[in-house]
Amino acid sequence: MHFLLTFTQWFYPLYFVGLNVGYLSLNVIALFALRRLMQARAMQSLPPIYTDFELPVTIIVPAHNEAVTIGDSLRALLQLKYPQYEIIVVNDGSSDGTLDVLKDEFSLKPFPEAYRIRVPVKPIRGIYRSTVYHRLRVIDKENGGKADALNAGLNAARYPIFCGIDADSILARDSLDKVIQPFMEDPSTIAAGGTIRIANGCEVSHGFIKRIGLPRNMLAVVQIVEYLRAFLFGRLGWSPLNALLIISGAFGLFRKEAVIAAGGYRTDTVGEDMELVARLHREMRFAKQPYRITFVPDPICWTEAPEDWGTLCRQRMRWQRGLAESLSDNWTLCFNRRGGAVGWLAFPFLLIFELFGPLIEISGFAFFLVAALFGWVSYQAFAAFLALAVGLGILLSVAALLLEEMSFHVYPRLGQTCTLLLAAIAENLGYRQILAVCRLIGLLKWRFGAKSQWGEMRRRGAWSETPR
Amino acid sequence: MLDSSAAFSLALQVALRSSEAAMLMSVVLITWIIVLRVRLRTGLKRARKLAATWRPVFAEAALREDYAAALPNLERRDLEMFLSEWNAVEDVVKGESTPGLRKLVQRLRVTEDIRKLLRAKRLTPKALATAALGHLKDEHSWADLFAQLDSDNHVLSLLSARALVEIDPARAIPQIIPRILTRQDWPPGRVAALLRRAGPDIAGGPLCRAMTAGSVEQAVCLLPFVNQAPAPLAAATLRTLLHDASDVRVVTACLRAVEDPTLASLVRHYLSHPRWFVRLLAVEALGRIAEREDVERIVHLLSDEQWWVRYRAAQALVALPWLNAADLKAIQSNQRDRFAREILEQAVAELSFS
Repeated sequence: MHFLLTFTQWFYPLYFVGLNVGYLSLNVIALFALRRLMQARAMQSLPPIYTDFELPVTIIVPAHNEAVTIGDSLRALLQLKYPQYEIIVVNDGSSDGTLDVLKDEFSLKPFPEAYRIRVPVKPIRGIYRSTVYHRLRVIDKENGGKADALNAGLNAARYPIFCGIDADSILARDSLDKVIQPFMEDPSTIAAGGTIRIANGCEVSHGFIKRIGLPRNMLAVVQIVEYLRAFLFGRLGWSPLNALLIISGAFGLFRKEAVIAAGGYRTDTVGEDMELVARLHREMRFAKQPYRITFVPDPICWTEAPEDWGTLCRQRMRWQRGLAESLSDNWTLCFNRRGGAVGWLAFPFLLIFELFGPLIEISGFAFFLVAALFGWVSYQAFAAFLALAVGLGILLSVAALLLEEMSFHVYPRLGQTCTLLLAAIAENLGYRQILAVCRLIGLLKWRFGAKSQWGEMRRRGAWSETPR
Repeated sequence: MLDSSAAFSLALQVALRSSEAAMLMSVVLITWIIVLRVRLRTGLKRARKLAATWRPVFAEAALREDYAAALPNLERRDLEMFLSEWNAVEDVVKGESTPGLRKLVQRLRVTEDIRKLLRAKRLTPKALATAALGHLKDEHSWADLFAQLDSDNHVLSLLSARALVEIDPARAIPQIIPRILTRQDWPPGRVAALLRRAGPDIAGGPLCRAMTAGSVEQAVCLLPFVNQAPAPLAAATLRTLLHDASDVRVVTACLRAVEDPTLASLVRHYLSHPRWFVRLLAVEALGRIAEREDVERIVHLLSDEQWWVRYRAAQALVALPWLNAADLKAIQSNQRDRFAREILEQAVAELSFS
């Protein structure tokens, strides 16, 4: 018993040290990567040019019961600044009249396409093409989930690069231009993702961000800091090591043939975006093929964050479950002799600190609380470790804000910066701990629960000019 | 108590000190963020003021070579901001340096200061100066710019290449072509823009010579730019390469570039190539230059085993100017192969939709 307690009292502090050393290291890598990027940006005295050398892109928009938002989203997509792209909307058995909205608003007519099944999908009910917008095609299919919808779009894609986005994503006009750069600069690039920002508090007009602002809801403000942490050093830190394991499903570019060769999106997971990236790493590494999976830190895609605890908790449970499925399905990458940085660093890091993190953190807090109550450790020790965990958490959040300030400074007013600084502190005083509980439930549901379907989220959309 | 051991007491002390250090670091970072924000605001204010002062002057100078009005005062500390604005105007004016804008900088007597910026340690002033000296066609800076051509930073090396082309294209192109072969980090779009800036008459000769006289790798690397040469020279180069080609990479690169009808007989040869992507590129190329006698050859590929070859063949057919809807319908109904009929139906529908 004494050994167990001694082991436990050392295990948790060492876990926290490992976690924070890991994040601080990622922070340092991200700092250098961002500095290099900003220098190159500042030097971009070369005027933007469009030549015949831009890679054409297929945008795949899976839509399930998106009748309210799909019109605005598509109109914005049709105005992107990029020389050659097509849009394929995949109506995944919607029951709210999504297809009728599309037919009315975009003058769709049935199109006799010789549809090729390269990745198996649920039956296709029809293919339509817009008589007004030549870039736009719509595939109507039986319900099979988001991954199945993406696969259906993949089968119909004409171009070598495709971009999977959520139907409610708000893109910057030059988003494709930015994220295609890694493919242009390095032909071995097979996937690239960008930074997702939170649209709550922003003013959106005709599907584009018109004015950037902070939301009034504090829960959404805290998520802004959380997203900065996740993207600006969580992902940017892994990218130079070619160990990026997550590209957000809200916006990511992939080389079509690489994805098809890997078998397309898996339909039996809720985290199909992350699972695909992990699988691409695994297949390319095992086949000893040179490849790159890259992260572009520019703010290119905006999405609505939940503003109530219930929706937020459900979202995090789903994400945790997706992470668990992705890692368990590709576990052979971990500590494999061909695994490289992704197999030896990123995978174990995600496994220990992200997947099992909530379990360890919650049990750690509980252990120290119980140990302090029973007098096994002093209250001073409990307070010291609590202060360390919170102090390092605040440091990391503030460091993320510093990276943002050194690079994109998206929020223009000093008052907004101060609000975010307050949120960076508040984030570590309860918010992260509550989310750890939600993530733990997600982990347990993965182990014992039933299969999830399309993630439903309660959207407010208060930032949009268009009534919803 | 578990924490009575010496080791745990030490760990406790470390934890306490670390948490204090973390808090202190957080305060330092917060101060840094606020300082950065204040500096940013001040910088933006100055940049706005400078832009408001100089933009009207640039507009006048770009329109009138003899613009002689008194110029606003330019403080040396604002030189980088000024160059950023001036370069942007130069780039907007069709990318061509205009005499009026050049004279304006000469009247300000800052050319020597700009040359000094080339030797700056920071990359941003270096890049601004490189772009500006190119726009100014500053012969004195040739050696410095030439040295920068091999910079590890690809943006700086490309900017130097552009500046050299602006100063003396005939002298710059023979230096740039060997670097196209070695600089994997030069995006092809930028290389094409460089060659275009030099002009087909200047870039064409050295480019085509390098393609035909060098190795297969050299030809494959340069072929995407062959159409930057004058059309007859490009066609002659492609004819030579296609005629002698034994490497499939050369064939595909040539087929991608074919635009000249005199190459049709060479292209037809590849319609039955065992590799499907060669057939695909051949039918695509033939679609661009086909004669009436080629229709049957293209129709034959509607039944190819590869979907993409069938699709490109169908697209090539519907794009032929002498085939109308009735002709296409007749071709479609004559096909025994279901795949051929379906793919042609799709291509015809695509045309009618667009």
